[in-house]
Amino acid sequence: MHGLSFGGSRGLRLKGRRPDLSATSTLTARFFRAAALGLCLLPLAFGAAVSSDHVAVDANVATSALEPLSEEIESEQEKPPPTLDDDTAVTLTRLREFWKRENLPHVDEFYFQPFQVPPRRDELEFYPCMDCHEDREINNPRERELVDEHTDIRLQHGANRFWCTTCHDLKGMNNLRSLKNHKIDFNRSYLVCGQCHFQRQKDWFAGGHGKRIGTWSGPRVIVLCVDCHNPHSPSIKPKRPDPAPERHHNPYNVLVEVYGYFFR
Amino acid sequence: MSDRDPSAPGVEPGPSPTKVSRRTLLAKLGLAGATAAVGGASTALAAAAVNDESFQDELATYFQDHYVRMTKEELEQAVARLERKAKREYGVELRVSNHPPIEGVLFGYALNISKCKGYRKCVYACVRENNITRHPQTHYIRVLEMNKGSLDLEHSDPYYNPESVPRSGKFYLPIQCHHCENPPCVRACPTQATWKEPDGIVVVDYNWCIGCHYCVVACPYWARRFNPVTPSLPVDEINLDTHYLGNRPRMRGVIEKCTFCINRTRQGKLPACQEACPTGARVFGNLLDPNSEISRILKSKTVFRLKEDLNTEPKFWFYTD
Repeated sequence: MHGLSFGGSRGLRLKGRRPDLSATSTLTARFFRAAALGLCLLPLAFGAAVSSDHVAVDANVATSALEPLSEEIESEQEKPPPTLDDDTAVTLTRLREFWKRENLPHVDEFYFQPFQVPPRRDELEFYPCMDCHEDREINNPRERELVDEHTDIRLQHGANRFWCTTCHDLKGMNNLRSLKNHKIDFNRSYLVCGQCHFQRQKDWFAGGHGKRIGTWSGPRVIVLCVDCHNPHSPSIKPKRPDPAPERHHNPYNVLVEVYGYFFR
Repeated sequence: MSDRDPSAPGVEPGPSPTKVSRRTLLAKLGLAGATAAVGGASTALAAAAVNDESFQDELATYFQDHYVRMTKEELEQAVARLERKAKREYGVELRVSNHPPIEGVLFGYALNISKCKGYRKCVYACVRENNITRHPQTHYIRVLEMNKGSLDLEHSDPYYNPESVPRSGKFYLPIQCHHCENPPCVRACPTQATWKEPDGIVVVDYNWCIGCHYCVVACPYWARRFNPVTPSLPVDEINLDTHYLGNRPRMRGVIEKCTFCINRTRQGKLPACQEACPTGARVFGNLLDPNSEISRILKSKTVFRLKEDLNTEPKFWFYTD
């Protein structure tokens, strides 16, 4: 378990990350602390838009998660990210907020390299999903056979424990959802996968799983899980290999060798 | 060549004077010398041959110096000659780059044998990228099908061709040039035509290679290939982005090998085999950068190298999940 710190010991997790509030742990402070945690760990921590009143409340109480987060976003904007949105650049601080909120194991700093993923949302065939799913009547959480739409999807994932709404947010179909029912953007779909496959995700953060694209130096761009794995049927199917090489000692090659020594 | 006298004895006018190769020209020159000795009638022919661009290029190439000893001007001229030759032979606008090694970079490769499924996508991407001869077939990368539970290279099968891979009970081990820190092929070369660059890539100066096969025998990883005949390249598939020490079109009778796609990696791009791999098994990067992916993998994964007992220190690691 080297490199993974599970969320059991609260003191360990918070060590050095946040200001120590124990000296002022009066009732009021506790109230504000709870309020700050509750508010800043809502989807706004990962959402694209952070409403101003939430920031104000949070800043009054404690210099907590949002301030370093906003700083990092600004500094990333100063650096010129050549091709990709800032939206897709990810740092460990932002991920730690998510893991803490979702009560998931944390990945050690050693195993993490800042990365960007290619934007996924705009490649989706039916996006925005709310064009159809605005209609409340078709949002049926019941498990059934899909006959009208999405008939090509055969769910072979999770051994029959999953249904669409395990990962898709029924109330806002434009997003995915975590198991604790928080919105996750399609561009960060790896957060959905990492809830169960956190060991794979740890490899993916470090570079041992997945694939880097573009350059070996400079900004690290890696492909999303769903670029290779179909999320509805993630196991990779066997394929026919490309043609085998010719036998080294077949008569033709021997002839070519002999011929090559004497003629052009 | 337009002033060549077609009625000169013993000389047939070729279909296209610009397509005369070195061999034919030298042969014609020798023939012309003989004729001169006999009849003294070939001054016009010799002058015509010497004025020909391709002949001058071939002559200058024949006497050109070793790559590391060439001055900048000589190198530029050599590159220009190569581009003119490609234009003559294939009719393509070849770009022969000469990017020097990047400071503070040592290239290394890691390959996840848990991920490799033996699709051989890397093999054919490499062939296209490096302008390797199609006929006779030459591959830099050889994917070995191994029995699970053993690393016995002698009983591996590179010619596997089942309906679908991976097969049960097998795993796949691609081998190519391992770019050793202590390369036996370099020590074996009698003409110093192959050497290790400062960024760790073992390269060949094709113009200096005499094709003696010593390095082929010396390499413990079966990485070097020989061109018995002039490489055959489909013109529409020629990769125009080339490097002097890498994938420029080779001539007959020289040794070639994997160069970690020197034309790409020295410009910051990833090797073609890494880009082609559909499983993400291949990781390429800078070993001197402690934050690179490959450094993290070497620190955190179970890695091994092939034939470590030979003390060749290859910069090509295999690892498992």
